[in-house]
Parts: sequence; C-alpha cells; structure tokens
Amino acid sequence: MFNDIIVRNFSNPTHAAELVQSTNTIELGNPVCGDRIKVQLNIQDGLILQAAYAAWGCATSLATGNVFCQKIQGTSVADVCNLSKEEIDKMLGDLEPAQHHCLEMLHNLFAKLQQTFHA
Amino acid sequence: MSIQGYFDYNATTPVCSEAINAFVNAAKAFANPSSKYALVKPVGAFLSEARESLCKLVGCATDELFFTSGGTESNNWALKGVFLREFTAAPGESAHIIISALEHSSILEVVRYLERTFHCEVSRLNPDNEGIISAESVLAALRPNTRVVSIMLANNEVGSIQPICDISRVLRDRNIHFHVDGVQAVGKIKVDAHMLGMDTLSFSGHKFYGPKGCGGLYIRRGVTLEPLIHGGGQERGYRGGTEAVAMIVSMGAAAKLASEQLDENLQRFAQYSDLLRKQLTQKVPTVVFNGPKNLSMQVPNTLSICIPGIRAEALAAILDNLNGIQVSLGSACSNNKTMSLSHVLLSMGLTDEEVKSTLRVSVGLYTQEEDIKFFTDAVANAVSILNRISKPVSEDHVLTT
Ligand SMILES: Cc1ncc(COP(=O)(O)O)c(C=O)c1O
Repeated sequence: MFNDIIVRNFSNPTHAAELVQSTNTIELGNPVCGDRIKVQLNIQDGLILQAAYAAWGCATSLATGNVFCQKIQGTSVADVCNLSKEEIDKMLGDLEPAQHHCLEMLHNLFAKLQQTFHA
Repeated sequence: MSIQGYFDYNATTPVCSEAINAFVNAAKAFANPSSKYALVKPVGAFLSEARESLCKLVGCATDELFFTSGGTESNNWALKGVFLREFTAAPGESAHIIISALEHSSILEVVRYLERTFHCEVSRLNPDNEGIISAESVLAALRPNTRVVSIMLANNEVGSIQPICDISRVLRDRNIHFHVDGVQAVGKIKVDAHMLGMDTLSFSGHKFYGPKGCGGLYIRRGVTLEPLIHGGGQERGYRGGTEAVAMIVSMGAAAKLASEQLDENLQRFAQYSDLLRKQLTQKVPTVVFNGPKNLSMQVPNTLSICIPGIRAEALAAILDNLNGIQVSLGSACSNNKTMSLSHVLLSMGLTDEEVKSTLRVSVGLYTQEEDIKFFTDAVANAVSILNRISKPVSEDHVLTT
C-alpha cells in the first residue's frame, strides 16, 4: 500500500519532463531493483529555477523523483544544502519496508546535488 | 466494495450470495456433528449435501472426499501424509520426491521442510517456455526410490494446464504417490478425479466463490495417508477437529453453483480472454502474453501480460490508485537489498526484466464485457503516463550508487 504523498506524486508527476536548457544533471540507479532517476536542473546565481526528472522504476521511486524536484525548485542551492537528515526523512511520509530503498534514493539525490554545488 | 475493477480472481473470489445464504442458514444449526441426539440430524444432512456437491465438482465418490481448512492444509496433508506413511513403513530409506518448479508455496515449502528434516532427495522440474511440464520429463526424472510426485493441475500465475492424465499413466503401477494441487482448477475447468487418475487432489473454496479457510482433499479409494491433524475421529478418522459446518455448507453451495455454470463460464471467460488480447494488442502494441500458445491448455480466466520496458509494479500502482483496478504482479521490491521475482515466470525462462514487466489479470463471475474495455483503456493510459515519466532515461543512464 502507498501513502497519500506517494500516490499523489506518482499519479500526477508534475515535474516529469525534459528541460531544454539545463545547467546540471544528477543521475542515480539502484542496482538491485533497477530503479533509475535522472534529474535535470537549471541553476542561475545559486537559485534552482527549474527541476525536472525522468525515472524508470517502482511507483515509489517515480514519486520520489517528483517529491525531490518539487522540494528544490525555486529554492536556493544553499537552502537545499542546509536541509537536515530528519527533514529529508519526512518527505516521503510513512513507508513500508519494501519502499525504504526510495528514501535512500532521495538522500542520495540530495547528496549528489550538494556534491555538484561544492565541486 | 466495488468489483468492476477486480481483475484478481486467482488470488481469491468474492463470496457468491448462494454461499452467504447457505452459511447463515447452516450457522443456525449449531449442534456438534459428532453428538448422538436428534438435534444433529439437520447438521448431518447439511454436511452430506455439501459433500455431494463437492464430489460432483471434483468427480469422485463421497468416501473419497475429506474437508480441510483449505488448499494449504490439503497440500501439506497429502505430501506429509504420504511421507509419514512411507517413513514408518520403510525407516532408513531415503525417499525421492519430484515436483514442478511451478508449484505454489504450499507445495514448495512442504518439500523444502521434508528435504531439510528427513533428508529426502528432491527433483524440481522446469516447465517449457509456455509453462507446461511434460509426462516425458517426469518419466526421465524417476529414480528407484521415487515415492511422491506432485504436479499442479493449473498454474495460478500463467494458467497453464498440466497433462495430468498422461503423468498418471506414467506413474500407474509404479507404486508412486501422485498428488495434484487442484486449487486453481477445481470450480474453473472440468475436473474429473477418477478420469485424471491421481491419488490425491487438493481444492480450496475461496477460489470458486466460497468462503476462505475451507477446502478439501480427494483421496482415491484404496490409498492411505497418515492424518495431518490427529483428533476426535472426524472425517472418518482422517482429519480431527469439529467440522467447520457453516463454512463447509457454504462451500457446498458455491460448488453446486460452479458445477451448474461451468460450461457457460468457460465460454464467457474464453471470450473475455480473446477481447483482452485483442484490445491490449491494439492499444499497447508491444504487449506479449506469457503462457500456452494452445489456448486449450490454459485456464481461460487467466492472462499473464508482459509490457516490455514498463515496470509492472508501477503500472499496477497507477491502475489501483487512479482507476480502482486490482491485478497481481510477477515481482516486487522486498527490501533495500533484494527484489523478489516470480519463480514461476523465471522457471519458464523469462528474463528478470521480463518478469519485472509482467502482470497477471484474472477475470471471474462478476466481470462484465464492458469491464474489459475499462481495463484495457486504463492500462493504455497508465502505460502512457509511465512512458512520459521514463522517456529520457535509458539504460545508459544507470549509475550505481
Ligand atoms: C495453486 C495454489 N495452491 C494452493 C493455494 C493455497 O490455497 P489456500 O489459500 O486455500 O490455502 C493457492 C492459493 O493461492 C494456489 O493458488
């Protein structure tokens, strides 16, 4: 069963798109279940103007991509980098054990974004 | 609960009104069937009538049918019952068991237990790529110490029907017990235990519109099994425990209905299967159907659908949450480290990717013709959503974390 956050995000993935103009790309995969996420960003002067994603995987991973984009679009990279582990943990709502790998993916997406910025 | 979107009749079926009414009626006759006073008479009559209805559905005599708590118990009983009988008769001898790789967990796990505890040898036969086990492959696997063969009549995931008659012929006169898991067949296709020739056959009420937790085992006359549940001598001393009267009577009513409607349902479901195939092929041209090419070897209510490139788990989630449609899957993420893939589909030679892209659709008594269009439209819509989400991601983008 899926919680409301997951259902809302995979059945209406508002950020599933391809950006024509992007400044950065983050890509992730889960070698076990084969989930893949690619996020494109348009960052100008430290502000994330646009975030869009594509994903192939289980319903929760599709929702995860959307939750991530929704959270970061319109936010400054600095603010995103300041998000605590606890805040990120709450973003997907209550998950079943079989869905926990998506929370790991979400953390990895934030970590990759931070790496991109600090690189 | 709406059942317009219910496409998972192989998991379980809604209880038919005949079975519900019979349950309520029988529940009022509360006397213990083992008591000796006149109050028991109507209870006894209820049970006899139910037994007769089930014998008709299974194709056996009343002294050959035993009530149990369902398919799982019946399968446990048949395999452990033979084994314990054999074990007492010939201690120290290692027995060999043959099963198909397609079996339900209620066979697979029992055999694993026998293997672990009694060190029996086990052969697990893979089917061909259409999900069929041939009598020749059973013959080839026989060993001098083969004591039990267990092959299911109809498979729950792809609906393939096994050549039970041919396998019985191979095993006849060899003193090998032949058990058949008939749970997905009884009530759905014509089953005649005597004609099929197995020694034991299991069935389950909730697969043919009866209550859950009630089923039975056919034991061919002359075959002896050690009881699984020892107790107060019920079921002619073969299955202890006060009979679940109302459940059995309810299952009996469902069995009666199933017998009466069998031919009509077979025709109707074959027509639905044809519609499903045609409409899906038209709306999602890449679709592939797993299972027998010869449709007479498939239970017509079951269709295993593979849509390459689509993750079936996500498709099912959209169908459920957007359209209120329920289907079953060939795979699931089980935790952070593993992915469970259907052993049935893998044994048929499907790749991991194909298994992840497979869902099972099973129709039944309350499926209407217009539901098929509702279903195939919803699948087409879900596929387009998923394609939109996944479009720019290709295999090349996989980066391991
Ligand atoms: C082939 C098969 N065997 C056995 C069972 C178990 O039956 P029950 O649910 O009555 O224990 C099932 C149920 O899913 C089944 O599909």
